[in-house]
Amino acid sequence: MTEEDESAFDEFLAARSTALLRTAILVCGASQHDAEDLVQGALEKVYRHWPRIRNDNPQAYARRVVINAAITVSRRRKVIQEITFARPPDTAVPAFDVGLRDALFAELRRLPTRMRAVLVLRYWEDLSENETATLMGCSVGTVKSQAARGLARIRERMSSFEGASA
Amino acid sequence: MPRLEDELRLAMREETAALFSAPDLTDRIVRRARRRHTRRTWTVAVAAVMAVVAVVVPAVFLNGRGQEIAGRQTTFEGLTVTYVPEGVTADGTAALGYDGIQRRWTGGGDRWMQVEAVRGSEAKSLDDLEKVSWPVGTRLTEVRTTRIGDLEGRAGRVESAKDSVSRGRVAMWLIRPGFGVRVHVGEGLAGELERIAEGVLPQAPPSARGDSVDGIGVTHLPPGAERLDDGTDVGMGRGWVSTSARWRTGAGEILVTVLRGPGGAEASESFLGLVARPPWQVGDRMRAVVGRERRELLIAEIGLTVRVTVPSKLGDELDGIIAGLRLPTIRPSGKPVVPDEALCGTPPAPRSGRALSGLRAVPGVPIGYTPEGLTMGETFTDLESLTRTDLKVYGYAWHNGLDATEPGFRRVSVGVVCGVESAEKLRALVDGAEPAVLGGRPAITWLSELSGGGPYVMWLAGGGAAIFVGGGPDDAGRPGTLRRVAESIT
Repeated sequence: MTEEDESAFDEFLAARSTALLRTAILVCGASQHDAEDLVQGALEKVYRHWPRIRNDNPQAYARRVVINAAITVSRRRKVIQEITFARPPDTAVPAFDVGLRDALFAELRRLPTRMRAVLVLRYWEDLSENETATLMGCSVGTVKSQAARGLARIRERMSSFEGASA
Repeated sequence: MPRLEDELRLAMREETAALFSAPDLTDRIVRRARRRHTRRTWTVAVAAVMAVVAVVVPAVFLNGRGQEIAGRQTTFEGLTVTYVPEGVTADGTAALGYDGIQRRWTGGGDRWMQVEAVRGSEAKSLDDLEKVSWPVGTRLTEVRTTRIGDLEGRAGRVESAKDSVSRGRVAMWLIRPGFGVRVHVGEGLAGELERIAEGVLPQAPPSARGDSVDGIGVTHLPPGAERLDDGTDVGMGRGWVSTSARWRTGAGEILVTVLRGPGGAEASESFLGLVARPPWQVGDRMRAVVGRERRELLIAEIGLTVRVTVPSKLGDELDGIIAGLRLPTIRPSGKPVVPDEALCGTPPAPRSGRALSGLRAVPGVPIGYTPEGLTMGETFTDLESLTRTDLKVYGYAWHNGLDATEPGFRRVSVGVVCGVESAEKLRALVDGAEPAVLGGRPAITWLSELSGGGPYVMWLAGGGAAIFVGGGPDDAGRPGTLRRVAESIT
């Protein structure tokens, strides 16, 4: 790798690493420590291919690597949790002082991994339906339906939460 | 009325506002990517060399098992160490190692050895096991594949990254995925590494009557309890592995989960089912009612946590089941632990009592009180207030998630400084520090302008180590927090 490559990689990381970390933690729901490990591992992959990708939308490549890693981690966590509990975990009762946004975020984390990833990419990363579909490797129709179902589930649960606490 | 999409966007923004990537991220990525490249090159080169050498010289680790020495066996963390060279004696009890739980033996100078049991995803494969969390400035070189008895393993040399001075030899292998062993010896025992490694065996199952889960005997169960045929489930996480078994009774199922590894105590908080972060004493037993179940969490020993869940109708049985657990006994040697200068950072052994363990603990510093309202934050290896920069520092911090510049920011740090042997050295460590006494030990206190403005207290812990506790600016008004943390250690 040339010095110019190295310096471009530094600049790329300075500009994008925090956003990638935040995206990863939103998608996989891991602790910050685990999310940092995940992002570091994903960015090592970006670094190894950097000379080839640096002039070809590295941001999209890095985002795809991070999202894929986050989805994998999220699934593993779910499997581990299921195994450990040997039955579905109890649903936590929201505390009285939990704010609306905390509750909203908790509902986001309860969604299936890919559905959550679609919502994160659409409403956190502000990607278009087309961009989201390309990144997720699925059709635009799937993105639309996953986003609509995800929002509907959250809306439904939030209304029952509000109804219960009213 | 605000749209759900907008609220969701704001919720995500709020949730991640305090997250920033580490400043040294680029360095770490570049270093690790290059190291992996080097390792691949080495593996290929070593394999080629070994193919030639094997024709002429027997491979290093192809001999039989080491001789078992009666009366000198040590069992810990599911391992039995059957061979310890003459003149080398146990040094302290089990303590947190690089990634797992370790025991250490010393015989003077560079005749030392340590055996580390690594659990969870760090021991998922040999490649994972090879990624050792070495102390700063230490690295593994000359890695080669080898055999430990019948098992495939890796061996290599540990050296200082700065000047390539040897830090000993290491051998590592997997007993099964999720359970690995690393044996690290000083140069004085390099010739014995093979024999020591082959003498480390998985612990035999308990002889107690009744059932067992991952080496923990379950001797008391209600009459008629029947172990379910689908047997034992195993799960793996970072720093821990869990093994669960279930029994069917007329009143519902009983579940016993054994979490092993330094991360187990941390992981088990959520496994208890208490998601809303209630105030609870870490390092102690805790009982909870979750739905129609009763659960008890027992942090039995450093690196070993057991959770028992019974249906509500069997709540009265919980005490009996807990009392009937047969846990491994680790006998303290009674010998004071002296941090090894070659490794500098080998922690003092925990004092009696249960230690907070895992990702929320300074290795070897038994913290019995977690600052309320704070969660585990970063680790650090220097303390800016110190006048000397040549001393090794290992510290952990808790914080409340706010940025240091925001009002309400709170931070509490705990750590150990190696190489502080006397009260005189302690007093000279920080400019302007006030001498004090804590729990009968020489101590100093100071206010740090560099680390958030909070008060600090540091005291001599023995064995060349000094322990410190520090607070952020908002904790200046809460001296009780620091005092409780310090008291839980002293």
